[in-house]
Amino acid sequence: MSRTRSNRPLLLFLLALLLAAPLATVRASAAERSTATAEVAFTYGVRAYNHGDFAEAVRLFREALEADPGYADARQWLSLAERRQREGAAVVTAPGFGGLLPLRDQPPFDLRLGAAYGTDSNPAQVTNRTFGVLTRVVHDRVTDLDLRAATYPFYGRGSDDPRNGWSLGLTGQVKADRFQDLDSLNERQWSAAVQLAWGSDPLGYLTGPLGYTRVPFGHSPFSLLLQAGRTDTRINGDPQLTADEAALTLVAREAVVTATQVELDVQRRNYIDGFEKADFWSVGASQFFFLGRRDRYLRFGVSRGKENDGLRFDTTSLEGTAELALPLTDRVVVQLAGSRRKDESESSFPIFLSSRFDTTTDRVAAALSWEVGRHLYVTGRASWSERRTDTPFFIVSPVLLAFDKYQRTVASVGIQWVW
Amino acid sequence: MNLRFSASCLAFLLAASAPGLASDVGEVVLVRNDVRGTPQGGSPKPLAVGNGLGLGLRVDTGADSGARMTFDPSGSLTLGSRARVVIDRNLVDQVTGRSDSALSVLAGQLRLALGKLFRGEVSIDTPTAVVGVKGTDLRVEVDEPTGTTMVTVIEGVVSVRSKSGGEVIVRAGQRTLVASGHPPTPPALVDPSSTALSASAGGPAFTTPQETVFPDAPLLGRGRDQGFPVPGGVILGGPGIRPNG
Repeated sequence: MSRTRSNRPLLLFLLALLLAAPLATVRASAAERSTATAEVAFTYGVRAYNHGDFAEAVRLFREALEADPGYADARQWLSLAERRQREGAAVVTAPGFGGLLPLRDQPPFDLRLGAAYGTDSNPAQVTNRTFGVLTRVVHDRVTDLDLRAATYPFYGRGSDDPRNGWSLGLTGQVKADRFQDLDSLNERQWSAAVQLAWGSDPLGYLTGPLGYTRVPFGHSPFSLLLQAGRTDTRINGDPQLTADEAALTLVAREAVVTATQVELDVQRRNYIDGFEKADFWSVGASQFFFLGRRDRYLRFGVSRGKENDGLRFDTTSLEGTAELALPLTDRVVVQLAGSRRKDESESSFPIFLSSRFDTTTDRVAAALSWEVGRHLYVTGRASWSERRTDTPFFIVSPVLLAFDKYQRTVASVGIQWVW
Repeated sequence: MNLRFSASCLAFLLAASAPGLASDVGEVVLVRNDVRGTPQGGSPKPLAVGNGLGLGLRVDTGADSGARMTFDPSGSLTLGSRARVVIDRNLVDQVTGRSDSALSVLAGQLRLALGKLFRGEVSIDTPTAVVGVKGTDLRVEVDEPTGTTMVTVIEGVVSVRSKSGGEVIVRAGQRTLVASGHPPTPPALVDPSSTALSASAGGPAFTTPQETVFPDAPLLGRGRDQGFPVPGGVILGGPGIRPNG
């Protein structure tokens, strides 16, 4: 009994302490509340958000909410900034993407260096049967090296709002495939392009038939991309194809869940150092359906093209594609695609045994990109294709070997360093 | 000749050795509908998010319009609809951090909030009054035909002086009116909830930019280095199907 009485003051003191602590906290919090602080933090938070600095935006919106917990705008913007912050890591896997940088801080150039090693089941594109005789398909291992460099002299010029201005990109790329045994199939390719773009893009770049170029970050309802360039391809050091190309791409962002892209491409093709020349054009349209976020989407496309040449065949093609982009985590993205293409070829030259034949090509591919570190990606790819030609005859031309059927599977792993 | 040259050099040295003075005022962060900026001696141009604010700039907002901007080094300036504001002065001593700023409100509503880092004073000039602001959050509203100025203090303390004489101190939750040719009315209590001029004052709220509502993503297309629509090229490049393959 006496022990209980002696402890009572201590218990009362502890009780008072426990009660006082929350009160003190409430008073301290109330003392920090300030509409001025909330207003200022919110405004600078929006500025950070506009500049793509989502971490700073989140910090400032939180500061605004601490100063004024009832600030509804700050709560909404905080939610958006947190979402963009989470997605930032995922979107850097996009080609040429340098992060959500403020427009004025976008680097004026970028560089990409890649290497891959893989296996090719049918590098020579040998048919299953030639002259009615079964042929042996030789597979080989292949190493691929790829270097792309680009400079962007200006962004968003000619408009008060840079997101609605013109941007210029100059790009160059060299690529080499080297086979382990089939040296005669080694391929080298270089390309260069001038790209003039109007408008902005949520991820800061536009793509077209000649590759991609950077534009200001933004969400203009329409974007335009004009491209012109040359690609030169050589097999075993000998000229194979030189193509002078011009393209027009229009992107319409008609709704938050869909976008439409239309492409027009014209080429002057020069085969085997002038042995044969051809004109090619194609028109394509594709529709994006975004699945909850912009880097997770389904895309369906269709394109029609025609190649006219005086010596070989006139070929009309129709192609349908489907594509799924699926970010698995912030650092891992999987892409799946499939296509079917039909070519109708007609010879204007009587030496061929058949004046007309149709070809159907099916393709399926999958790719995985894993960002293992800053600027460094590990990639894996696999693709399968099958081509069927409806003519039983052997038709040969300088550059096209059209047999009745062939299949090819390619798989590779590689690394990419992007700066 | 030598005297003039020496004087020029001295002036240059004095200017160079003076504490760094920055004249940048801030940056537009939100815009709703029709907002125009007229630089000193220039013609009006639409103001967009990301535009910087320079000294002498006059900002006009149309009906159902508004703008929010940073007011450096640590302030927030919000304009409601049909406002006309001129940024007269904004000098920041980069050594001490103290600033000396002045705005003219010709018409419409303005809300100015100054953060803790804002050390200095802001003077707001209206057709009928001069408001001295120091570390506070307040709203100023000018009725264009009469020039009558209403000053409402949300937080802190400001002094309001009539151009025809008389000055009052207005505290948080109080407001005063200054009519042409009259001294300021004695500060009166106001409903705190009616004092907030948000970016939505005078119309619907600022909507967040469209791209922020729905996070955006790449529009991957086929590149020239791709033998296949998606996985063949660019960052996922590697051995693959050749164009003729």
